[in-house]
Amino acid sequence: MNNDQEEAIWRRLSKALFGVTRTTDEGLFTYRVMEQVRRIELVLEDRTWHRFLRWAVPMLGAGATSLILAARIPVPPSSPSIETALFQPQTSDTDPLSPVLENF
Amino acid sequence: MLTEKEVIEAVQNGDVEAFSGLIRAHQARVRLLCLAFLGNAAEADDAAQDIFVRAFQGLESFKGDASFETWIVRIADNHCLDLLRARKRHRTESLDALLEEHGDVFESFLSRFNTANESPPYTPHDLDLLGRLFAALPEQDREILILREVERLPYETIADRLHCSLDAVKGRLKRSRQSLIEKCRKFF
Repeated sequence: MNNDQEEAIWRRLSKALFGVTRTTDEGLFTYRVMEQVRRIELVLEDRTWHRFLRWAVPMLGAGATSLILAARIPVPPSSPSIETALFQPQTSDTDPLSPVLENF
Repeated sequence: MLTEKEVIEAVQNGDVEAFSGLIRAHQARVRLLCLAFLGNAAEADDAAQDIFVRAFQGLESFKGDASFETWIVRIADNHCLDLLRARKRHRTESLDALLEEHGDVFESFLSRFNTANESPPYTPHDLDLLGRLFAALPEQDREILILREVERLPYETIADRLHCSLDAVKGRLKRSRQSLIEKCRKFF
């Protein structure tokens, strides 16, 4: 048998043995893989959410505590005389701030 | 219709369902590769499913330097080799005995794929028959045929993989093809 015939047989043989491009059950195969993929995705989402919660909850707690503490601590009222002195227009002869600071 | 690159980007951006398009497009090739390596349709299907799941998990790292097909074939190759290392070699029937016993089935299988211009889809029976046929091939022939005909690797890459010269690869491939032709000649 010559080379051309051998080549022709090989072409037909390899097309049948190695030329698979589609299968009749590709829908079922795809469905099975997607089931696993969705399960993995759910686990991953769950893990991401837990990881987020692990740092978000303490941060939120710390933030809320700071706010509560800030609201409870009384702010010392500022001295009216300093405020008056600070915003009083200054004349060239008198410095209204100096006597106030001396008494402070 | 999305291109493969767009589908991959969609999956990378969180559209899990888009991954089904990639499975549909590449399942036949991956299953054939598993079948050729493992020689058993059920085992090959389990392996192929695992390969797609691995591909999904690793898709974030896929940069598109090579095609998705090349990438997943590489995953499949590694996975099958791992499975082969882990399992004991199965006892298989000889190719002559298989073709003797199931000659009529093989003949009708071949005729279906030789008459149509476009190959018809493979049935589970076809895959089962192919698995048994691959399993019955001598180890040396199967190895080189997988690399060249299923993985479609260039000769240079095969030479690297098998640690031999380019001429040795060509010679070995020619002998393997010849041996298969001799055994199947009666069906043509």
